[in-house]
Amino acid sequence: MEDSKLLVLNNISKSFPGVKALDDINIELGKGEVLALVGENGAGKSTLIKIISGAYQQDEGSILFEGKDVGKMTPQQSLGLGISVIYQELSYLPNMTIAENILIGQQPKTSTGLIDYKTMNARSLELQKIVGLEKHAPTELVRNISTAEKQLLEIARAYSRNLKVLVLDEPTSALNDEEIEKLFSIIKSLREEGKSVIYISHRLDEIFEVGDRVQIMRDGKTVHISPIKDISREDIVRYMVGREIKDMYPISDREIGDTILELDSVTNDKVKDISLYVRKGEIVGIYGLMGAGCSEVLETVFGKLPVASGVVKMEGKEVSIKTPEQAIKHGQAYVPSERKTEGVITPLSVKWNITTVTLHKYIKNGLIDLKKENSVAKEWVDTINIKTPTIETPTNSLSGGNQQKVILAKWMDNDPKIFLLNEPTKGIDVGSKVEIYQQMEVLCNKGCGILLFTAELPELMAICDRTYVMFEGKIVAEIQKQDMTQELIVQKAIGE
Amino acid sequence: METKKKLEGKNVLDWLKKHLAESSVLFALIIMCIVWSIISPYFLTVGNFRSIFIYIGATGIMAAGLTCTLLTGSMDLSQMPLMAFSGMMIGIANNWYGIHGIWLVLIGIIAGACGGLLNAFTVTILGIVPFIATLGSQLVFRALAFISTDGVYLSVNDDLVRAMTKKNFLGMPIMFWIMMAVFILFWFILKYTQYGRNLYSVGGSQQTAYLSGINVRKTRFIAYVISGACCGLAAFMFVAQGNTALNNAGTGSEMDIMSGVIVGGISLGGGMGSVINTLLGIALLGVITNGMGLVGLTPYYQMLVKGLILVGAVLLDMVRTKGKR
Repeated sequence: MEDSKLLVLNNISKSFPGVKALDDINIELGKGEVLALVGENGAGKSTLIKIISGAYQQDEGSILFEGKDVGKMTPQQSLGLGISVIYQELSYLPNMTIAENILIGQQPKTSTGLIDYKTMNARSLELQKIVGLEKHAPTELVRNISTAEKQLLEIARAYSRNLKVLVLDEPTSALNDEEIEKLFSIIKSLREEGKSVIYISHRLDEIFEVGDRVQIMRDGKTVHISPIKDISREDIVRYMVGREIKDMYPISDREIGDTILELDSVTNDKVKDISLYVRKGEIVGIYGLMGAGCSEVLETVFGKLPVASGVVKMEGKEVSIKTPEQAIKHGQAYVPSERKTEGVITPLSVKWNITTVTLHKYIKNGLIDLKKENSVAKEWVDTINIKTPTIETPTNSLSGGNQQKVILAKWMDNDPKIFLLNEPTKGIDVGSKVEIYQQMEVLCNKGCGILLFTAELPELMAICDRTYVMFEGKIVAEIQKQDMTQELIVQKAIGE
Repeated sequence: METKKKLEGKNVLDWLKKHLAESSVLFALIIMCIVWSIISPYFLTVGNFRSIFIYIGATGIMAAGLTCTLLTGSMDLSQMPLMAFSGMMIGIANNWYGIHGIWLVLIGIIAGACGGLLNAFTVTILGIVPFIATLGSQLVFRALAFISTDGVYLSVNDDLVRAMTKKNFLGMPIMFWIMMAVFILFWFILKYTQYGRNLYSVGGSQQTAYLSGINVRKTRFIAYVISGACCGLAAFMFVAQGNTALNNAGTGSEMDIMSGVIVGGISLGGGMGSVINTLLGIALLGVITNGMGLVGLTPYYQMLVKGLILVGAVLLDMVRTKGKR
């Protein structure tokens, strides 16, 4: 029985200044097993995989690989053992070919010591076939392939290095359903070959689909381990957040008012003939696969992308919005999907981030009223429960969920009429998600309208009153809440 | 009682942590002063401190301007030649046309601001990378400085110019106080005005600033004009140092200001630091340069040291900002 354990972590602890990131964690990964690792952000999953990949070294505890104590690993050692980690942020060289990317650092050489391109491309194609990437030639540039394919490329690279353990960190966050299916079939075939997988995801559906066992972490500790077939979705959520969540989506019925935002045949490079409307107090969804143009609709409304033709109306009046600055003046707020590069200003404090949009309101006689700014920031931190040591803390040291709340605060401080939310809950923990839904309800009750793009169907169906479905830059369906089913939405989204 | 003491102790530690850049530069400054005063008995004299402050007078004002461009995440390599060019304009006004007094200051500032406009245009309107755009304008300004008088130095004969170094207030030359006034003004702008805050926001993330309704282009544009105007004011100070307008002013020390500002703790990446950092960094660089002259280090070795300081400063910036973005 013992020898079937491929990777064993015993009593691993790791501290950073001020925090104990991992506290006495044990992992047993069997051969050919898919272990799902779940937990809220900040639970210690990232630290744990960084110890497995050798990026961090544990303070205490031991790592056994195939029964041998490997001590504290360096990244080279970890790779040498056949452990490959594929992070959320993919690593690839966009201007090099697929073959060069897959066989980077291990290019076959000719007798004169030069790179043997012929052998390299042939070897690359073999690896591409394993992961289903053979439709591209090995000589194609990586910048021309899709995100999902880049991920497959990384898996192929892992294969080339005598893969034994594959660690996938949130692998599906940028994939559409079809691509996810493909990834799952690869994971299943890995399992059949006796290779092991550690699978990290926020999406519980996926865990039930591919996982053999689930290990739930909270605050750097393991709170529960169970075979996947013996545990329910509700139990996993309960273990993750450590409290009862009766309903993941605490959104009740609201009063719906007049139309606040209206688009009539709006067209540009990315979207075609978009007509939609959002009313006061209403949450309207937009759903589509990657590249269908959902986030582009939001960006066009907000003035980030130009309107080539068509009409945008706010509260019944036609408006011309060419920049975000103008959109904000018309009462719009935009929460981008790229939290760190478009949402928060990472080196600046929580306070300064909260007043980025509304600083002009706190200017007296040409000067910033610092006291007022402080009190405004404190109020928001309390109101929407932003977990931060002080309001002076740089936002980069906050967790994703709390950064998202900072972004909400900065817009809510401006009393907008309409909120454009671009994947507002992407990659954030369940607890924060629930809090963000609560804020959405608060906004709606104040008479705000919400236009929301989310790639998560359960979320979309639970919180939206209506949803538009997009396919290839066009709106192909409008579905009312009572008619929403997963099958119908997906069918429309794939153009059927 | 005891808890209060503990708290105070913690506060001091927190303060030091928060102001790591400032306190470490201040510490280095003190160490440097001790070292030089041991090596050279002349270092700790009033006369020498006056000459340090006269040197810092010109570079400090330019550094204050550079702080604005660096905060937005851009840079400006053209400051020294722009200062030389503005100085020549002051020289021409005085020597050829007999203009005097405050008008010379204004001419300097306007000349500098025009140079700044050129940078602002190429960087923010044409969208050329700041490094290349200002490297190019560096040559343009230097060439214009030479072309303007066909390479001839001009002597400047003006009471206000002389007053900069000869007149004192509290034992320090007027020039020093003007520089301090510039720093206080900039400190105020950065802390209390919307524009000052915009500089930080744009430097922290241009994309986020844009999506939050901040006019990124305008913010960066103005920063370059400010940087240029500072060169113009600094030109007046530089002319005052020898009552002469030199075409080759600042040749060989083009990167001194950048080194000083980055050593002081203004991040190359933008969005981090204050004018306190700038002042300390420029003072440290002034003291090092002064001391090297006092102990008789040849210009070749001085250049070597300055080069190492520049590379070291960037390294220091990398260490300081690690994990903060």
